[in-house]
Parts: sequence; structure tokens; C-alpha cells
Amino acid sequence: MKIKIFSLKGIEFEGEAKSFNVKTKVGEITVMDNHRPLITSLVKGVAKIGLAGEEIKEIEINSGFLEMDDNNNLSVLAE
Amino acid sequence: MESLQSLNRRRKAVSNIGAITKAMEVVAAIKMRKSEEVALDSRPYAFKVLNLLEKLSRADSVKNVFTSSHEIKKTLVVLITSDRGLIGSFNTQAMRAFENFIRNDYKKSEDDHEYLAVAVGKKADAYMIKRNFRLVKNFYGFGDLIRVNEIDPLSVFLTDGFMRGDWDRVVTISMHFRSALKQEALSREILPLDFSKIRETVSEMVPERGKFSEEKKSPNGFENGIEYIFEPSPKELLEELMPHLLRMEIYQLILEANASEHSARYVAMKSASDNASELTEKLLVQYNKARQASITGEIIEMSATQSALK
Repeated sequence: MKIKIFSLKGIEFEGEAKSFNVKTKVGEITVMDNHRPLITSLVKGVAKIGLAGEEIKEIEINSGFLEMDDNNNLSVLAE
Repeated sequence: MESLQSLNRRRKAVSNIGAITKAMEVVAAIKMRKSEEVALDSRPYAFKVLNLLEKLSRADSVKNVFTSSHEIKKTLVVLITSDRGLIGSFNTQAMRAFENFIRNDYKKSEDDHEYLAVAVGKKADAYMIKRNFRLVKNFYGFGDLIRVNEIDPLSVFLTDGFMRGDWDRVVTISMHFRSALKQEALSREILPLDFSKIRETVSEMVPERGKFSEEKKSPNGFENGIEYIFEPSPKELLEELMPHLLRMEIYQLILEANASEHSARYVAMKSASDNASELTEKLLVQYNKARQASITGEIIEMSATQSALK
């Protein structure tokens, strides 16, 4: 899936990924490829982006929202 | 012919003004660069915000207080200008757009429809008072580098009033930053949420070419709305998400207005300093000519006296 992480300072991350692990209001979730459309709010924590291969990229998030659309695009509005 | 002293005084006065406008130009240039950077950096975020708002306004499951389209009886017009002057036609442009909006609005002819106004910036405030417009509230100090939480009073005021039913529509009129040399006044309907209005906003905001031009393409795939899963629950999430999205939309408006203000001031101050230095030069030439003329006159007098004495 395609991940785009937006912050007020610009686009923090943009690219292909296999999974996206993040802390939300109701607990930690991992979004995989072709997840159903989802909107949820994020809480402070470290988001882990599982890139192709075994690589993992970490991004700090204070708060924000996550949106998964029906075209396999995941967007994060992060503060 | 003007006397030497008064010419000299005028020249000095002009060059002093030139020094002041030059200093203001430099300050404006720095602020322009900073505010432009902030406004451009947050654009991707703002586009995503608009994109989400558009999708949410299409999704059937999210009929809420912001999308509800009951009859529009009162319109709140938010005019965003600067606090300070000396910006050329910047504020006039925004005010003219305001006039145009009021004159051409489709709701104007309805008898029971009423306009209210919110002024952002001292210039807008002064203008509303002069025009005798019904002003609900005014906000100052949004210029320069502003942080998100600083505009909370404005965004909370707009959304709360809308939810209470104090007004049924919110329109903002502000300057949009196209480039350092080009700003234009745009009016936008930000509430109630309506996807065609949001689409309009996006297409007005997006540059014709370059980095974001792909955002202009018509949306695909969500014509009928996506059935999202909302976590924790639709109600809880939207109560948090909607005000946030609106706040960010308003924040971006203010940032664009700031960037426009500083660029407009930079351009105005630059032309003022250019004019001042041009005028100083002219006055200096005039002064020198006058001085030379009086010297020549004195020499003629002297030589005339001398030859008369011979």
C-alpha cells in the first residue's frame, strides 16, 4: 500500500509499505495491505512503517488522524 | 525658482523617507520568506484536510451537524485583512472582494436573510465600522508567524456559532498566495460542508502547474462515498476530527493571507524606495543646477562691476 504522512512542516514520509503500526485511541493497531476503509484518531507514540524487505522506519507522532481509503492509500495527518 | 535651502530640505526629507521604506522593505523581505515557507510547507497537509473533508461530506454515514443543510437564514462573512497598512492595494483588494460578494450573493434578494460579519485584522475592523456593517466579533494579531493554537479563538468561535445556529453559513474572504508577485482575493464557503464547494476551493488553491497540480484532477473512486469504519465510534471520532479539519482549513487560510500580506508589503516598499531614490536623484540635480545658476549669476555680477569700474 501507499503511505503518505503529512505534517504542518510538509510531507514526512511518502512511499510503498507493507504494514503500518500505530497507537490509536482504542489501542495499538497494524494496518496491512488492502485494509478496509478506516478513519481513526492517533495518540502519542512511535509509528512503525514496515517497508519492503525487513526494514522498519519509525516516526514519532504526538497526535493526529489516520485514513485508509478504498484504493489502498493510507494517509496520516500527524502533529 | 525654489530657493537652495528649500530644495536641499526636500531632498533630505525624501532620502529619509527612502531610508525608512528601505528598512521596511528588508524586514518585509525576511517576513515574506518565512511566512511563504510556512504557508507552502503546510499546503500538502491542508490539501489532505480538504480531501478528507470532501470525502466525509460525500459519505452517507457521516451526516452530522456540519454537513446538515437546513435553510440558510444568516450568513457570517469573515473578512481577513492585515493589522497594519502600507501594503499597497492588499487590503483594498480584500475589501473589494467583500463588496462584490455581498452584491452578487445569491441569498441577497431573500428578505429574511441576514448578513453578519467577523473582522480579522484591524483594517477589516475599521472598514466594517465605517461601512456600518453588523460586526459580531473581531480578531487581531494574526499576522507574522502564527501557530495553530493561536487561531483557536477564531475557529472555535466559527464552529460553535454554527453548531448553536447563530449562523447557517460561513464564508471567508481572504487573500490567497499565488506567488510573491501575485495574490488574489478569494471567497470561500467553509460551512456547511458541501463537496462541490470544497472541490471549488481545492481547484482555486492548487497552482496550475508544478508540485500540487495533480490534486486538481477530479476525484475518482469515491463518487458515492466510501463506507469507512470509524474507530472508536463514528460519533466520537467525528466530534474530534471535524473541528480539527475545520481548524486546519482556517489556519491555512490565515497562513496564505499572511504570506500574501508580507509579499504585498515587500513589493509596495520596494517600489516606494525605488521612487524615493529616483526622486532624490532628481532633486539633487535640481539643487546642483540652482546652485550653479546662483554662482554663475554672482560671477556675472562681479565681472560686470569690474568692467564698470575700469
